Amino acid sequence: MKIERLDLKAFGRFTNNSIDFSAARKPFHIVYGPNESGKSTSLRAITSLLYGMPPTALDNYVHPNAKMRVGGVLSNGSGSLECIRRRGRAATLRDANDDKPVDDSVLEKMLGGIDREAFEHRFGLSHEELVKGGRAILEGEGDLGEILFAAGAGVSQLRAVQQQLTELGKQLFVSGGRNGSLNQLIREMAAKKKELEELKVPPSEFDDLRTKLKNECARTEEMNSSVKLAVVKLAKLRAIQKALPLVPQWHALRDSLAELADAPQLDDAFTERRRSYETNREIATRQTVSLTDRLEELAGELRSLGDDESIMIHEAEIESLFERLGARDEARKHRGDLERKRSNMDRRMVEALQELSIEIGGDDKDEIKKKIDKSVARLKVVDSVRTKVNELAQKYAMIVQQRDDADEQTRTLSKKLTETEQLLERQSVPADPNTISQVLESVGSPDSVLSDLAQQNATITKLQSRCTQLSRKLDGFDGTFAEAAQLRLPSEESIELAAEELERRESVLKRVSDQWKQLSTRQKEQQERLQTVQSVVSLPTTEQLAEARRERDDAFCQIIADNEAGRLETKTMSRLQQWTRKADELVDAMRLHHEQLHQQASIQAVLQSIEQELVTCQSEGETVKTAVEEATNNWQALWQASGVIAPTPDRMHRWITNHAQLVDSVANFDEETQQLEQMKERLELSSKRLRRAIELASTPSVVPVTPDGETLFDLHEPSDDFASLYDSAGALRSELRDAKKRHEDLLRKRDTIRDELPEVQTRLESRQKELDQWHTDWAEATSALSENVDRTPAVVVEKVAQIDALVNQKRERDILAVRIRSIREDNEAYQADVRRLVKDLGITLPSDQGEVSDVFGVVKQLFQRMQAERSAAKQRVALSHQRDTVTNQLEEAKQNAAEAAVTLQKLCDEAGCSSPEDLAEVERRSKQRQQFETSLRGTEEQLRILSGRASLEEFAAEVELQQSELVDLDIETLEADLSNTQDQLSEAQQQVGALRHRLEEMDGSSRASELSQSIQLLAGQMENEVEQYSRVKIAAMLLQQAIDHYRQENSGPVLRLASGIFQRLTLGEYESLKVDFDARGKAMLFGVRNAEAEPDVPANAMSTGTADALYLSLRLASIDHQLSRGHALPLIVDDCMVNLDDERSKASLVTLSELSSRTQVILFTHHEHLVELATQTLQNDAFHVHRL
Amino acid sequence: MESKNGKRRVLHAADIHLDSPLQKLQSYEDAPVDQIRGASRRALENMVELAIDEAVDLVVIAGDLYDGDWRDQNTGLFFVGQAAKLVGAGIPVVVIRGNHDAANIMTSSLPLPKNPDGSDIMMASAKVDCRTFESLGISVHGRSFSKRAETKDLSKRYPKPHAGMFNLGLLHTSLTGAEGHDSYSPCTPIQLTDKEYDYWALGHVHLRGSHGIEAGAPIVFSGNVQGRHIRETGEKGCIIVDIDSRNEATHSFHPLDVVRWEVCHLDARSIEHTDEIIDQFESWLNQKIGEAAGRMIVSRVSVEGPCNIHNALHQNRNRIESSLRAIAVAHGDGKAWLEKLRMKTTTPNDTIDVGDLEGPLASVAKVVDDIRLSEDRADLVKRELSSLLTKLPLELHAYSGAFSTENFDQTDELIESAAADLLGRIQGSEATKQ
Repeated sequence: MKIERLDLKAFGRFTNNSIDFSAARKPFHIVYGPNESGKSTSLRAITSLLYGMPPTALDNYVHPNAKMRVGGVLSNGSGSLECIRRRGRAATLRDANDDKPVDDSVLEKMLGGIDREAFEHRFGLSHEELVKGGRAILEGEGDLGEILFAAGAGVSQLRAVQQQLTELGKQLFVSGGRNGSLNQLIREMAAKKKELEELKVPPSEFDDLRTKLKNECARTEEMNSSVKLAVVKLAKLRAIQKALPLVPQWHALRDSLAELADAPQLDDAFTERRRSYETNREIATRQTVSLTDRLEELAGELRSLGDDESIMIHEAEIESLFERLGARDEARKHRGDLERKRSNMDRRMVEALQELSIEIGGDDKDEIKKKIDKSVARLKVVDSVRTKVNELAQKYAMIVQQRDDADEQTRTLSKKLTETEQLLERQSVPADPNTISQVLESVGSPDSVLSDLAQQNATITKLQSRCTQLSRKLDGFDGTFAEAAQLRLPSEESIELAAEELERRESVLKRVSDQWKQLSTRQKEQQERLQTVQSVVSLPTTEQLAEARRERDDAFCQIIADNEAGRLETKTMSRLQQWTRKADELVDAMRLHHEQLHQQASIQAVLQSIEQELVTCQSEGETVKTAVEEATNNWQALWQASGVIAPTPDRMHRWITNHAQLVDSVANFDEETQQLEQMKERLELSSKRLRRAIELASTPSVVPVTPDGETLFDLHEPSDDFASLYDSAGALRSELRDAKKRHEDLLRKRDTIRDELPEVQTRLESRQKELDQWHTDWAEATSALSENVDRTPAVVVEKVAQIDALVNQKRERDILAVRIRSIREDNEAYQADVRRLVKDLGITLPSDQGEVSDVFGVVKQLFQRMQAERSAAKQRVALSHQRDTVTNQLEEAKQNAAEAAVTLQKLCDEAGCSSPEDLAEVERRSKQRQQFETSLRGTEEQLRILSGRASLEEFAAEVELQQSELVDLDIETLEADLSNTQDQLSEAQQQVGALRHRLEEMDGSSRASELSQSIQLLAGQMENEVEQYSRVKIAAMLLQQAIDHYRQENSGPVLRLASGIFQRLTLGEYESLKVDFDARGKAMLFGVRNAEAEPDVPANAMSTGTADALYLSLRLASIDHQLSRGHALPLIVDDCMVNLDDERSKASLVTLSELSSRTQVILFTHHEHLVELATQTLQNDAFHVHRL
Repeated sequence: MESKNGKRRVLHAADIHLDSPLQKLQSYEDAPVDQIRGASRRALENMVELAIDEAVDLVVIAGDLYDGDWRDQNTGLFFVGQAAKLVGAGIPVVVIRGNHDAANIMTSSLPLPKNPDGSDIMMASAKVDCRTFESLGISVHGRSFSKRAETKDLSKRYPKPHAGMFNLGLLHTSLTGAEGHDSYSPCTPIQLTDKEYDYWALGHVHLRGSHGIEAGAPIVFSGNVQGRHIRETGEKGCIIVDIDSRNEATHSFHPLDVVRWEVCHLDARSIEHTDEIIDQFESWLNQKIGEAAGRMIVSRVSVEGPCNIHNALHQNRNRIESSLRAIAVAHGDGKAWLEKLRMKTTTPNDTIDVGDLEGPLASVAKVVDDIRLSEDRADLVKRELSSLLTKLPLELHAYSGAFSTENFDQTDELIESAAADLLGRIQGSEATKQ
């Protein structure tokens, strides 16, 4: 199979590109494309065309999946296929027009059953494969079979496949090893099985346990009862042992009690009571003595306290005086201070008066005081005056300010007025802009006027061209359109008549000629029919029939005759038969053609009638033709009058319409021309008006002057052109308006100032008056002050303040004087009170100097005396009270002593003795008796416990029979036995417990069962891995066998071919390839060196480059070899010469070129250099270069 | 006869095989390992629960309580516990020993409880035993196996039916023989029918089935209560026999299994892409999960027949198997387990297709074709694998034994699979085909 053309319709970056592989004689194609040119896309396109596009998204970055297309023409010996491949799952192969699916089998047949993988591996040769193949050779052991197989299948990684299989096998299982996962699983399983055996509880063990438990239980029971017996016996012996000392004690107690039988039974509290009564008696006796002594002491103390009643009569007075004493002392000291203060104040007032220019002299205080009072009274400022002064002082600054402001304002305004008036005098009154403005408005804007004019011009031009056009349409008339408009046409009616006549005659002519045509057609048809009818085989005639019938009859007669004569012959019979048939046939033929004959006759009749009609028709036609010519002449004559050569009426209808339009247009044209003239006149007039208006406005007398003194219109020379005139006038108008506005502003300003000025002057006058008034008021208000005092407002205010302070000081000093006087008066009253009291008490005062402090000592003494008398009275009351209490206590003590004596006597009666002194002895005996009785009860109690069920007497008798030492010995023996038995019992019980526990442990647990399940899980895993291992192992075996098989079958021819290529590729360094066998008889591949002395090189010991070359040689040789025996597909080589130097590349190119005589070879490369090498090495017609 | 209008119910079960593990399940990540633990115990518990819930009057078990080679008293004690539960609920139990029980000494040492009427649960082996439950109007005739291989027809000695009672025959037998089961106590349905009993409760054959002849008493194998390997597929459980006042019996099946084994057979001819296997399994599994009513499904996917993508399938089997497992994990919600992916596919025309080229692949094809036809291929494979096969534990002896010159199935499957794998690797088809 061969690729004739590859169409990259919509694939990768390509759109509607084609590579034509059909041209070259030798099909070796080099497809060159630089990087990114789409070389690998083209490669993929080939496989996509042959085997469909891979489902993974590739090459769809320009064209969407649904639009992707690759097509081409494929051919083989028996035919070619043009098809297109689209992307998708099914029916992806389509015909050349991309509208119908093509059956895949058509292409499959061309591919000869080689699937995608096989194609890619065997007919694809890439640089990567070459490198891998070379490396595999070096890494291998030089085994011929492996190398051949790899190169043959295009499986550069065959070694990798072998290694994979070996590796996988080893991962799973290593015979005799430990690390394979199956090895581990086998071990793990064995371990689990062992564990399972340990975990299982065998039924026999269960039975054993149950028997053992039963036995142990019986033994325990037995031991239990013997222990019980021993314990009872031991208890009895221990009782006797304890009772042995108790029995003699019991006897002794009983004897002692018998002796004390007469002792009374006194209760436990008897002694207590006795002691209590005796103590009471003694206490009462002692109290009586001590209370009597105390009574006497109290009486002495009362007596020693004296009595001072006189002082208590003036108690209230003394207390009051004493209380007032403190205050008086304080007031005395205070008065001194006040007096000092007062004289200070006097001094300060004198100083203040000095400041107010009033001198006060003298030493006498009272005199000074009087002088001061007098001066102050004179100075004292009346409140109303003070208020007035303050007010005026505050207002002063404001009034002065207002007056100054008014003055300033007046002066400013006057100045401004003068300035404005001067300016106005200098300026003249500007011209009125309204005149020019009116002119401007009436002439209108030049834009609209001029554009109207232009538009009018355009309209006229348009109309003119229309007229010219229309006049041209008037066929048969020469002249201007104006002339044409002037043409006088024939009347409408006459035109109509002439035209109708012509038309009518022409239609008659047409009808006649049509008729003639029809007749000739019919004639022709009938003639053809006649010919057809006549062309049938010659018809039989009646004569022929008669002849046949006669012959038949003759033959029939002959037979009758022969029959009668008895010499009837077959020949005669057959003659009869022959003639009979002939006659029948003739009759049949005549019947058959009867219809035909009839037709022939009728056609001929029709033909004759047609001929006649034709003659008639011809003569009619000629008549009509003449009539038409006549009518035509009439028509033309009608128009000639107007100077028009008229064609057909139809065309003249249009002519008339055109003429009418032309007349209208010419009328329009004339009207518009007239209007244009008018417009021009108006424009001329407007220009004149404008010029005049400008001249008028620019008259020097009225030209306004700017404040700078320049004339405004120096630059405005009126120009002739209307637009410029209009602009100048407009500018002039706005300037005039500005000047007028400025002048008016100045006038308005002057008027305003003139209005304001009188008002401001009036205000200044009133302010001045106010100030004058103030001065008058001020003088009046400050008149009170001495004349030599500065009368400015600030000074006056300060003086007023000083006077106020002086008046205040004087008021304070007067208050002080009042207070000093009242203190003195109080002291005098106090002294009088003391003197009166002293007199009442008859005491003399130590000294009286009139000072209040003189009486203070006496008051204090009196107060102390009164205090002492008060405390003595309190003590007397307390002592009297004590004396009464002690008297009562004494009475009570005496009573108690008597009662105690009586009670003691009663106790004696109870104890059966005469005097209280005997009571102690009786009590001792009674107590002893009670003690013995208690001991006896205790002993008996103990014995009763020990005796068990036996009576005391019996038990005592039994005990008395025993010997103490023997009893001890018995107990010791018995205890030892018991302990022994108990140990055994405990052991047996533990045994029972253990057995029970083990049985309880057998509770139907599922542990063993679960372990057994997990063993099965392992078995499952193991089975899976065993299957995997088996697969891998058998696959490896199959591969090895296949390698051996391939080597045996193919090594000869392939090596032969490869040797040649290898020699060429190594540039003669190697001569050939050869096979040798190693020690184990394995076939190994060697390279034979050119030089004789050099040893052969094993394949796996070659240099990298050589190994690559070896792989390439074997690969190409294998392809060559396979081509000789199988189906040929194009060999697709992808840049596999990248690593080769120029010479080797050349050698490769030669080899590929040679190979191309066997199958199409397409070499893709992005090395331009390779193309050059091919040009150098190969003949021109040996290869073909395509550029992407 | 008790009330209930003379109606009675008997639960018939057999082949409990208590603590028999589920066989050769390969565990994998996310496999619901916990769910399969103690499946046979759970099934027995289900039976007891069913008996109590359905208020049956009697439970009969037709042999094989345990596996013969299993000796863990705990297993027996678990059965004792369950029997005690039934007896405690007032339901009498009658059991005969099957071939497995006869071989297992555990049975003799079990502390089984007595029935409510004082009778023994286990029937005698020395002679045909009988339990008559007067209150129920039922007589059970049965005989335990005394040895493992009971090759005599035990039914011959079964007595005449008791008049007026519902007579139930309890027998451990293979009848006339069943595939995969040893032939014990052989007899025919006609012979059993001739005994004129009202119902024959049989054990031994694990496949449930009725073998009664027309107009005769029902002869029923209840099958085992829990499938234990991939050959025991489908529902497993027990039979409840409803007896009316005229001693007419009708019977119905009740599932007890907790883990159900199912095989998903896929026809390789219809498969054009590996994903289709996954898809078909997914829908199949969803259906089975729906049917299993919350039970766990252990499934095997078996792809068989000629196939266009034979090589790709074998080369990708690990990936496919992983995907199937993922489906089982994702859809099963802990209730589905993929036992194995089995691929018994061939190339479409049963030959290796390498085009018409002479080349290395032709050699592969030649070698494979030769080995396929060789008579001693089983021995060849065995030799190649001998170092491993001799090391395999008891559980996998079946695998090594299947490379047999009498049955080439496993050998051919292996060769086919290995060849496909090899071709896939050589052609590096992994990337292009998928």
